[in-house]
Amino acid sequence: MFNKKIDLTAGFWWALLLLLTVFITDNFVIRLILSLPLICFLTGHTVLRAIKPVQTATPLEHSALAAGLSIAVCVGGGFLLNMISMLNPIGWAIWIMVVNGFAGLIALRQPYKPFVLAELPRIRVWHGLVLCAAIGVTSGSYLLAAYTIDTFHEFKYTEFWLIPEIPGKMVIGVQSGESELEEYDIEVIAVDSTDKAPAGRANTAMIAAFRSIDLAPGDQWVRELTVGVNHKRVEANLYRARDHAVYRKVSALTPGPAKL
Amino acid sequence: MISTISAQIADQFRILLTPIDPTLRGYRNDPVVSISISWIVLLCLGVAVGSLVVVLGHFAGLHSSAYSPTIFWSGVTLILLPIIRIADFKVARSERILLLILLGEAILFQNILYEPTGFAQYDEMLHWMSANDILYRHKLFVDNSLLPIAPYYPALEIVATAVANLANLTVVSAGHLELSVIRAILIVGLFLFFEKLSDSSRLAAIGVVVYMCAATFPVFESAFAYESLGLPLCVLIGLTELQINRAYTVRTLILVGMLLATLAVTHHVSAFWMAGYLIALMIIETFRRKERSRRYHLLLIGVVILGVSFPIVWMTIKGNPLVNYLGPLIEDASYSFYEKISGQSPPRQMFVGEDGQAQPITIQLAAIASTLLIAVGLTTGFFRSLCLSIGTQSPGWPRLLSVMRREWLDSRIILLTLAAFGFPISVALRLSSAAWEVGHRMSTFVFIGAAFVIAVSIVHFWQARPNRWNRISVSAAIVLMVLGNIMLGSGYLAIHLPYQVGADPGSIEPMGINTARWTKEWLGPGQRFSADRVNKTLLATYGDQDIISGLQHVDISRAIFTKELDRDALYPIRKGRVNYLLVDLRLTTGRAVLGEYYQSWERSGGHPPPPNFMLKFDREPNVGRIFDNGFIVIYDLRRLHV
Repeated sequence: MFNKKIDLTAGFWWALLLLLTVFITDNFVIRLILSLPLICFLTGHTVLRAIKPVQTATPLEHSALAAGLSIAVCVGGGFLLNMISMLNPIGWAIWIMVVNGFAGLIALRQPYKPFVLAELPRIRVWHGLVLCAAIGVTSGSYLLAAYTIDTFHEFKYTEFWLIPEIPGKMVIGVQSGESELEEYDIEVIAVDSTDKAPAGRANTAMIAAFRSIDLAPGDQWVRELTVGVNHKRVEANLYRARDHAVYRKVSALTPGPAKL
Repeated sequence: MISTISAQIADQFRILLTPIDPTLRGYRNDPVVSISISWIVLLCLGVAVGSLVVVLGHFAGLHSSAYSPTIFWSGVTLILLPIIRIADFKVARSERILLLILLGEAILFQNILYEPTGFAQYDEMLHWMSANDILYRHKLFVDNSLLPIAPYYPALEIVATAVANLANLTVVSAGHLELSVIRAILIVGLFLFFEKLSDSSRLAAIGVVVYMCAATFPVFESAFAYESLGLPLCVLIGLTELQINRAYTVRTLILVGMLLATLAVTHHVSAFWMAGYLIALMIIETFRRKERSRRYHLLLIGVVILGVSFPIVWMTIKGNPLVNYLGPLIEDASYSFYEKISGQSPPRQMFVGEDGQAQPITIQLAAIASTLLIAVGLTTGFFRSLCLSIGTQSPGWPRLLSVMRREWLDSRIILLTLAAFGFPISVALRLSSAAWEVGHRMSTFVFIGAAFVIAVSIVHFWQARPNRWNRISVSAAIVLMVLGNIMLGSGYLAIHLPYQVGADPGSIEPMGINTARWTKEWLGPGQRFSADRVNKTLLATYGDQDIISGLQHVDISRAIFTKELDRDALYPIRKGRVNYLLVDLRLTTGRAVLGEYYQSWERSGGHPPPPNFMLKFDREPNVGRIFDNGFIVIYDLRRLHV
């Protein structure tokens, strides 16, 4: 049998502990252990005891309704916290503590007949071992799935970009998503005409060149370029050193509006 | 002589009608047995091994192995093993409940294993956007450019962000935890609801398993989308409404009212279904002839008023775009259905995807077998279920007279049985392309009735006198029904395969995700972006960008499916003031699996855009090509609408 009040006081102290934890640590394990039972069950249980619709509900029915009511309280809290601009961890912790405290106080005054729980069946050692194995295999499946998805890179690619930053300045960058170390060369050209022009034409001028950039898979290379404000656009070609063909091509307009 | 012949004909006719007559042949009371922990732990291990095999199936799929379907579906079959025990005759109530929760969670887990560290379904991505807005901007009702209705029904996201805030988790992890909790609520709630109606834990457990054959259960109800929370709340409301019968106090209204209010802000369609259920219940209860409590009726009217008024009040709050959202959907579906029944529209090809590819024959067979078994269950269970709540114990068709005389004891059973009629209607709606979605979503709710009727047919006809053969065949039939439903629900997107064009989850892979993240890091969040269907969800979630699409009345496909950047192509860019356009050249490599590259009314004609159409922006001097990774290009279009 449950003690008549222990669940109500435990709910409040649990919520208070969560509030303190929110202030002092970001450790997700501790905060998860403290917050999940409150959000998913305890708050609803306390509120259910406070409003006490039907005394004869079975423990299972009570649990289902408590879980549903916990969600309802959480949703109501979301609207309230939004109104007072407190949709943050501290706001949530305070809300849960207030609901548990307030509902607990009302519930303490209600007549309550504790549930009589059924006797637990006999559990043998091998039951525990098999259950542990099941939990282990399930966790392993999850981790394996995450690892499989995370490490499966169907496309091998190199990201190349050129972004206008402030007038006269641009950012150029390369990030390797290849399967092995690659060596790159970059040429940056300013184009004065609005026509696109390959390097070497009269209306273009080489602004910068970067040679032998070695990037391992996942490595990033970024530079800021001073391009001035007199050019119409800036183009950049990325060459892969092993075949010296244009591998990627980007361009950016220097700031200043122009109608089509 | 004539009388003998007529008696013989009558006998044969009676035998012929035996399968559908209302006689309850099964035991009214469940056998009392003790819980078997051994079965539970062994089935837990079986499910765990099944999950591992499912992951191996995904692994094989990603590496294009021909064995991946065999491996994957073997794993799913292992996951469904608890059904054999749940549907068995001599099993303890608590054991059935534990195994039901195990089964429900296992089906959800199998879905999560597709993409354990992110959401992948299209609808999930849209709700993920809203959850991110709540988590990072700390306020509700932030515009969602891909699902404008979502911010007005934020309950699912509120709970997920509450967990994320308090436990310091990501929205994805918090969402998965939330889904597992609401899945348990759904399973337990539905079990208790069926059990209270039928007074049988066995019938209730079978009913819950059969509910897993609802078309939306394997994917939609397992997704991070508002209906996943709406349905369990509906079930809990149904359960609390039952409590009014036990305690005629106004206090019972507080609990129902709280749940109804939560439902009203959770999911519009669920809230309206619930209102419909309560109204129908009140009407059927009014027709009932048996003794009635006036107080119960007043309380029921109170519940109906709350159930109807909450969603309507919420719908009318300022800015709620529900009418604009649901209106065209219902209009299209009605028109399409009318065309269908009047023979004006061509038939929708069954088991053929939008890309013209037929589903594998195993999926087709499993789906047909599953639908046929459901039809058989409904046929043999309908009259039995209808007469389940009449007081008389007499066998045969005279039982139906009590129903005709409106002498039933529980109006909910009558309502659920009649609701089962919705199943054939939902199947019929699915035969037309525009009404398909309405039929599909409708099955979520009408299948509660269908599941109850089928469970009645199993307990009181197919397994009325349990023996080895009917125990095996009924268990096998239920496993086949659930497996067939999972196969049909997930289709060929069940297994994680290499990149496919326009396949929603099948098109999400690290390169697209990294590009979306790049936009956030280097261009900053909140840029006006446009892209194809899949990349716009990645940009909105991983990239935190503002998406300009058909919902803003901007048809960006108009700018893509033209050879030149002419006035027509520029129109959507200027109208939507699109600053950046993401062009995914992989779209040029094949037909879209789900039929659309950009949006449903695009100008593709079902064909992929040619590469020179997509790269025409390179020829435009006022466009910058600011990003290129060889597959995806981002254009800076800001000068085109200055």
